[in-house]
Amino acid sequence: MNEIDNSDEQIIAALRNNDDSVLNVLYKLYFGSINHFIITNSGSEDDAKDIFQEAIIVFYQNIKDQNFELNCKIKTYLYSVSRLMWLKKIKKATAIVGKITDFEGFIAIDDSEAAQMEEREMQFGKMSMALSELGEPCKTLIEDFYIKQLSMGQISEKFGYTNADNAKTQKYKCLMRLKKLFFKQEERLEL
Amino acid sequence: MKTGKDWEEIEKYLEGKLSVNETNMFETKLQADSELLQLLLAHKKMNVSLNAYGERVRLKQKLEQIHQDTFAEMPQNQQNKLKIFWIQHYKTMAVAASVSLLVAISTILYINFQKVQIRQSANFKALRKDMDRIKRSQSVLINNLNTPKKEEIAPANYIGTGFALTNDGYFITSLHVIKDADSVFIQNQNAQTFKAVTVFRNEQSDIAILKVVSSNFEAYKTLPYSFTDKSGNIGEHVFTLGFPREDMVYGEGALSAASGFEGDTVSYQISIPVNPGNSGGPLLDDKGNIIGLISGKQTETEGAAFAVKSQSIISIIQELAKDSLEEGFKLNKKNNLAGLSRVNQIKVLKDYIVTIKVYNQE
Repeated sequence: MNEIDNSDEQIIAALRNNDDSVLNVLYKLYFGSINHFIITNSGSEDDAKDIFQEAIIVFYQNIKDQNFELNCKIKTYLYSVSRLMWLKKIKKATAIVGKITDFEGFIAIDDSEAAQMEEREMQFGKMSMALSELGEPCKTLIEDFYIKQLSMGQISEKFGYTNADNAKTQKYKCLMRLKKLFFKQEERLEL
Repeated sequence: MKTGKDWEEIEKYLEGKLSVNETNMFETKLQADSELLQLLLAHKKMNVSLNAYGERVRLKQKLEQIHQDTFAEMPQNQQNKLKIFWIQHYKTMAVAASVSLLVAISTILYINFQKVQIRQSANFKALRKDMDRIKRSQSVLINNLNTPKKEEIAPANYIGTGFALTNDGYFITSLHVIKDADSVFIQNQNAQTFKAVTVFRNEQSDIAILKVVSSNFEAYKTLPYSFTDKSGNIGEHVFTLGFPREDMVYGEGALSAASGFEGDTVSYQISIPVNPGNSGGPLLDDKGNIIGLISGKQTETEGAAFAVKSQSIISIIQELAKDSLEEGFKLNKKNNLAGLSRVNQIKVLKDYIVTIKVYNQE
């Protein structure tokens, strides 16, 4: 997908077809306006980058969910999600939120959707905490499998296991430990 | 405690890798073994979480790459910071800039205003005559002669010129002539001196109206000149009579501009040589109409003197009539000088033009 094909339907269709190259298109089309919004409302370019990427992730995950229905333009949706997340972030940082300067229309993200966003984020936070406590070589092994999506064969080669079964056993042990850490996280967070 | 074997089965079951038969067997086992079920659910949750985690991290990495590709090629960090600073603070900066601009402008204006004032006092020389020097030299003279006269009238501190405004004892002169006066006297051509009081002063036009209070003053029958309410024309011949010295001095020239010192619209510029003592004298046209009142000259420019326009005088007097309960002044409308030669005009005029003597405690 080399040429920029930017109608909303085509972008959504491409994402549902696992054609991630449209992410590039989304980025180029919409980062500017979010960047402008964040910077105007006392953020930095790095803040803008983080918020925009979070918004893309939210959008991406929603699109993958076949039940999700987009009720507005992608541009508006990304702006609205970014706006919501930025507001949340500055509310956390400072007690008083000054006037927010808007540059385009936005829709209200309904509570269930916002709650879902938050839940996903929390899960992600818990998992990265658990992983950071996991220690080597488990951390790398898990990451190789779940993030880099290496096969068990590749993993056993990389780690020098004699065969894929040994790698599997190792992975099983690691997962057990991770599970403990993960559910410990859960308890900790629920306190 | 479940073993790796159970776990392997769980994984295969979740991945859907078990055959139909095996699946059925596993599901029956699950129903019987609650521990296995727990394990399955926990593992399922872990799997979902880990997959979501993995997906998210991958996505994030992709986006990061896109960001790098799109923006990192421009090494404009410094510039960006400036831009961001600008976007975030332009409102504050705009306010600050406006304030400083305002301060700067008002300071400049203020300083200029001060300068103008200083220059004005430097450039514009009011033509009342300081008699101090004369007084001193005279008293030296007296001392030398050593014959002091008892009836010596002290010389005035300042002198200027004035002329009759009405026939019944009102005279007009420049305000600056009589400004600090303790007492004012007017002296006519016959060396008769009358005490006068100031009845009206106008700072803006620099005119003052005096009223003779001495009882021995005889009213004129009529005034020979009129005050014109028309604008004088540039190039018109004009003349004045005044007292830059003890004797009346005639001066003539032309009306050179329709505005006075630094664009002052209540005055004319005239090219008559005038000197201290000329202030308050009448400015007349060829026909003998009063067209103005000599007020001063510009020090750095040769031949530039100024006179308050008769129109200004007339309008001030009209305003005065409106403002006060008195009847006001009836200005003479009839001109008896029009047909006369200049010499004869002056012969008539000289009786109506007086020396203004000003006394004050210095």
